[in-house]
Amino acid sequence: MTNNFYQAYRNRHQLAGQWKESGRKIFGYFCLYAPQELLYAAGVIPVCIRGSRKNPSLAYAFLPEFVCSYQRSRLNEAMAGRYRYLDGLIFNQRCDINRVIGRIWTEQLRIPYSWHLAIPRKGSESAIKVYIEELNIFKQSLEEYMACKIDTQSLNNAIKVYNENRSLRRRIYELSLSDNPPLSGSQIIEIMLSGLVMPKDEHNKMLRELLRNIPDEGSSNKVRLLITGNTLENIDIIRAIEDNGGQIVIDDYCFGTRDCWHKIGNVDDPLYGIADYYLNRRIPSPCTDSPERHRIRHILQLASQYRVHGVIHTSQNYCDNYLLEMPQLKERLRDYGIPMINIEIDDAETDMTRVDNLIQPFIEMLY
Amino acid sequence: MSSTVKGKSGSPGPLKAAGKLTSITADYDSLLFGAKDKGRLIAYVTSMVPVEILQAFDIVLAMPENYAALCASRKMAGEFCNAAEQMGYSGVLCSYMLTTSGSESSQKGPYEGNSLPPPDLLVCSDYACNTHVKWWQNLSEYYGCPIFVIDSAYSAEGPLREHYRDYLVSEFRGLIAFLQEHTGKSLDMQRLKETVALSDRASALWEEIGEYRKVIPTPIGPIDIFTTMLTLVLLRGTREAVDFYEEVVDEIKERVKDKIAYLPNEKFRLIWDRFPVWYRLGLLKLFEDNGAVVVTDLYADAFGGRLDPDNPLPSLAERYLNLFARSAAGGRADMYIQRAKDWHVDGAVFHSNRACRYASTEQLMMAHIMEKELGIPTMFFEGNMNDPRMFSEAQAVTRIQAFIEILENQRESSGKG
Repeated sequence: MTNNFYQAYRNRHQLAGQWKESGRKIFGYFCLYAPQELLYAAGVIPVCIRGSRKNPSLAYAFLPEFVCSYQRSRLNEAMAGRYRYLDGLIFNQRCDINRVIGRIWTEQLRIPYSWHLAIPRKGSESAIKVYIEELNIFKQSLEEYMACKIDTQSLNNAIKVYNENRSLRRRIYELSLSDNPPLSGSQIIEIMLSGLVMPKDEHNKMLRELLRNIPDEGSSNKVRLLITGNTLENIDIIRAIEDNGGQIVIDDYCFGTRDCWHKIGNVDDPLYGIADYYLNRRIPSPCTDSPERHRIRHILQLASQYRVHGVIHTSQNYCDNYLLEMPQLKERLRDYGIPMINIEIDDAETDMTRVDNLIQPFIEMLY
Repeated sequence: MSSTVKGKSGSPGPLKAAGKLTSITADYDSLLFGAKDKGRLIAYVTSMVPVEILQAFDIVLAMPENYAALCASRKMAGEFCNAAEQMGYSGVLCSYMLTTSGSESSQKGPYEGNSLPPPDLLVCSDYACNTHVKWWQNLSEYYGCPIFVIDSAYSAEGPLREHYRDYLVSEFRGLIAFLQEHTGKSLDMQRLKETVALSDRASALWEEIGEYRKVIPTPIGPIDIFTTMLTLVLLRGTREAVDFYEEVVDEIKERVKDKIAYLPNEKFRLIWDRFPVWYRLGLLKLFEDNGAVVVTDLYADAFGGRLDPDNPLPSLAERYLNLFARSAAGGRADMYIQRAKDWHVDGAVFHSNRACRYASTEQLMMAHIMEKELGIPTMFFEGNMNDPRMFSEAQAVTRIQAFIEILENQRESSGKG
């Protein structure tokens, strides 16, 4: 039922090659705070730079061992030549690693176009104002490079496509409100990952098709779980949870619910709408969420709404933002009677025996 | 391996002026622990907060990062990092954060057994690193006190645009409003101009100290730099900092006039990247035992930076976006290359600090650039700025020995002898 999503994600580089042959330009972005709507309005296909499960030996030439494994993995993909189709790179620095890797990437890939976006943390009117100023300069640069005009109509159209994608993805998640969700957690994660590597209008077609044909219910494991973290490449971790009797019914991933729970508002100025969405409406990641704890509130709401028995926290090795918030998240969940376990992951080098040894007793405890 | 040590006769040893740090820190400790009795508020600040603004409100500042380094120098940090792990924090996190958190939770510290007094306010900045903000967010819950996050919008690798500066200035104004609300006082702009003028003067003196380090052989050693920087870190914006650095500069001037070398057998001059190893500053002596001395670094300089007292907020914004916040590609590599040239540097030492990904991620790139542009050898050793459990001195010694050999071989093959 969802195999096409999985295949699209797995074959992302081949798919990108096909788009290139059809004359499209493809830009890579590193963080889901990149305003993809602007790129889409310019006729660019934005794709999230992803890692893989391959040994990242090449990337050790530039990144020390104690840096986020996701960053190392995706740099390795670039150095191995798998991203040579990219026409542009979009950086921002909501995380410390993203802040300093630009030159490494542009030199490795010899990308003709790159842009460093300055994104504020706050959502105040002055923050929105400075971000709109930034977006305007970025827009002008894109227009020049792409020899196009990004006008209000093209921006509104992009917003419409992306908002539809957010709505459709949220509907997928809402299927799991059922006691017997028709989709497994691993299927849902694959659906969400596939959206990172294709044009959003294509993803919308696939999502609409799936929602037309999906049964109301399926069979499911009894222990309902929420999974949280920044990103995930190794779907075997989700499958291991399912094999051990857990059912991931909802997530708090950057590419998951945080990316689709809310939409860009209907405003006259599309750039204002985009700025306001990313700074105020989007569920923040720990990289931006302070001093308030919107992300933790989101997790608590989801945990209640989706009737979860426990939470699995997956932290990429050495990810400061998530690790710094982990004790506080665990404590807040404990206040609500929801246990949490942490699994440190390294997409290329996760020891699945260790993962099983952690998950199995946790799920048994929740029965 | 060959030894170039001819004995330490003639070495002036540490700066005499550094002895004043004992009374400076004692005065500071009295101020900090007496603040509540005197009705003054205590603010915990991260290292890149414009402290000059808080000083204009007569707020007493505490800097947990500096406190953590103090704990490390007193050999307490390992215990505290362990305690922080018991709280649920991962041991890979910033060891300044782990040290301070562990000290708070175990209610122990270097102040006659006590840790820092609790804060009334918390102020952190966004433009240094992610840890600063998340750590302060956790502190605001732990202590239940108000917090102000100085936001920023900038790119460490891209150009520095006017609207980035303007936004940071607006955030500084937000900080002022926050402080007005919680102190009940209005900002005295004249007082702010005075603190900025004093901070500028201290920075100018610090730059002068740096200039003297250019002299061959250098008159002052790195341990003096990493200890005397304390005043710039903790007390910039005060008369005490200016008076102290004027004494330091006078003493160095005398050394230069009398042609006194810190290391009489100085053979190799080094640039040091980022954090010292606070619980083992003596590591620097291992270089010196072989005629190699650190003559420049960009770590302490990050706490300085010239200011314009007539335009305090814009010049503070310029300082924090331009000096510390640049990545290798965004200007830091150029700074290093210029330093290496101007300070006649023969090699670069990179402390690959596992506790700070912000600082360490681009070190390999920086080393590539320096080797390519300057042809100088570079060395790395793995460590942790504050947690001694994560440091292998044996590994560092091996790396230092190998590096000295490379420097000597390079010297021989260049014919400079």
